Amino acid sequence: MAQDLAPLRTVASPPTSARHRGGSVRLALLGGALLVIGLWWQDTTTMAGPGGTVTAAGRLAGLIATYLVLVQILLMSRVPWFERAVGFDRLAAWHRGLGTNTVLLIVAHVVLISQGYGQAAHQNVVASGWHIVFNYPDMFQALAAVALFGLVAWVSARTMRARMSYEAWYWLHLSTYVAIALSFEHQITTGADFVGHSFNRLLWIALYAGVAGSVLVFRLGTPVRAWFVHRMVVDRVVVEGPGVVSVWIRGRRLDELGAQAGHFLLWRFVTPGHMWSAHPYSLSATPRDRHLRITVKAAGDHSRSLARLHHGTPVLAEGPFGHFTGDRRELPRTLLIAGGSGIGPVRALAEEFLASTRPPAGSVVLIYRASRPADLVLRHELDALTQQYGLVVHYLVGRRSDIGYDPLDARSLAKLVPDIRGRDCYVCGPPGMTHRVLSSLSRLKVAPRQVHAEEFAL
Amino acid sequence: MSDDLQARLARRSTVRRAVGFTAMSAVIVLSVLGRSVTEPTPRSALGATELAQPVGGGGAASAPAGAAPTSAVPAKPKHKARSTPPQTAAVKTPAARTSHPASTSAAAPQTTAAPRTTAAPRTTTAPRTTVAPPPKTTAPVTVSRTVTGAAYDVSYGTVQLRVTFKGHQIVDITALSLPQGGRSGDISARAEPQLRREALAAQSANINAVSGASYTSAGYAKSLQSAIDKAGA
Repeated sequence: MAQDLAPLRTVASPPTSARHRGGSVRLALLGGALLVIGLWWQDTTTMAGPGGTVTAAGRLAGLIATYLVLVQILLMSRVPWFERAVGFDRLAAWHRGLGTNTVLLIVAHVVLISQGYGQAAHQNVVASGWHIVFNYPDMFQALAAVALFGLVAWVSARTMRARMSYEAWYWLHLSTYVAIALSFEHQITTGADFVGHSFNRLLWIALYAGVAGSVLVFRLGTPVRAWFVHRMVVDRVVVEGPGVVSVWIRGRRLDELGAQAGHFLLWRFVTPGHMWSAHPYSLSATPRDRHLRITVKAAGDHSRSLARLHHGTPVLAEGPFGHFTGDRRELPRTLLIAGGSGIGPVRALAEEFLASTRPPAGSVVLIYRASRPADLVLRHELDALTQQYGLVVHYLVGRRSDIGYDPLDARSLAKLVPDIRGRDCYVCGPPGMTHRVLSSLSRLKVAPRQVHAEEFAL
Repeated sequence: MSDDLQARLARRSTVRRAVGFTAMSAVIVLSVLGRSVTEPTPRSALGATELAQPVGGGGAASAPAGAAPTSAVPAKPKHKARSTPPQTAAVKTPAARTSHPASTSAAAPQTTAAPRTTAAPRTTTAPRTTVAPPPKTTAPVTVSRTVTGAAYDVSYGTVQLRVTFKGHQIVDITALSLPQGGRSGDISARAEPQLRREALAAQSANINAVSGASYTSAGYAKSLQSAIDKAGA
């Protein structure tokens, strides 16, 4: 696990509430796909004759692939409606889930069109493909686009991704934009659905323009505007424990961000080595008007180098994102379970639950899992919360191989927190731990809507 | 344990993607099947009015081609009106130097030409029989005239034909313009000889569309029809 906190590792079985998120967005995207099929349906004039059906299938594959490419861009373009309805984590998961199939559809498009045209011209598929590339307009660009899409898919495959630095992967991934630009022209100049069909062409161009617009507005415009409003800079860096640092960020009118405890933002520190990539880190303290804090465990190169940030380094932030927040709470009592750097958002949540309503002692229980005592961080802050508000903290320390059992299995959890089914459970930790806790909770029959887990490996 | 979990997650997402891909393939296959089932085939090229529009719009030019297949004998006055207006009516008479009365053949055959265009079902032989008896004794078969048909916009390009008549017989068809470039060019190259063969055999514009080239076929039939109308053949 030498990687950074890449937004691509998801937890195995998200709680049901998360699984059903974003029905409206799903419906809208499905409607768009039907529209694309409808477009193809109405302007397909004839499929009789050699290669007719194969060509028609190839065209449909190309249209759907293009639609999916645009959808994937849109999913990642931070459209506020998507973020609210689905959430950044699941959008990223959808984006990734669609990737493989999109590239397969592109390949299918190339093969089917070559085959279909070949059948019509009594050529084999290779000769026909060759003929198309060398004789049809804009086909060299389209071929280059296929190669780029293939490259992006290859470096995003699990095995390759694990071997690359986040930055290298990120830059290769960005070349998708180039591929999209390269593949656009051949659709308009040779696509049977668009040549001579000015309405379809207009519709298609509008689709591209809409996606490009939302990328420009939400991925570029919003952060730039946020910089001018909030002027966030690094205030100070605090070492919390071995490999764990807290970064305090100072800014103006930060309450206008609408950030809550449990939210995360995409942070970009404007300094060499950080400038070109944004990383998701959760807030580890209740956000205030002039200060935000993140607490990061050194999991990769990026998080390690955070310790060397200087006072005054400008910070560009996108967000806040996430559904791991207090307003999702169903019941007055809560159980918070943290592991690794998951303690950051969990500590922020505990503070929020306690400070806002000052519930009776024992209302908030926090379980903090760590392999070694040295890994426990922010301990003095948890102790302060205990003294001030009556927070109950259970530290579960030790490797499972050493202590001989899993302190997070259903039985141990029920013994530790007998009223667990009467509580909202917030879980944040490494994927393995989160997965185990979620299955324990479902074994204990905690209602799914009471279970909240961030799907990031934080 | 983490590796084990990772592997399990990987397997699960692979399965999910395989399901997704199967679903997408199914959608494509079903769409193609559905589309091919609902498809009207075969198509008369001349009847596909919506696929070819006269260049420069205008109702006058579209009238002849559109009306041709349905117009019966009483359509005679229409024919007359038609033979004059077309803007591209470049009626060339290269054979005029032979001093044969081309003028008579231009006017006279109107009466006999009318039944030709009635040929509702294309049976290749039926229309020919009506043309066969040359009405005028003066016009020998050797007089060949070249008539340029109206240009038709077929979405992917323009179709315009030059038709050579020998008496009332269509002896040659040359395409002055066909959709060009890329796929359209390939389709034109494939469809043109086939359409020409069909038209020469049918001796009329009542030809079937070449599959996969319905637009070009429609434009071809209409430009041919307009040339026939102009020639009054």
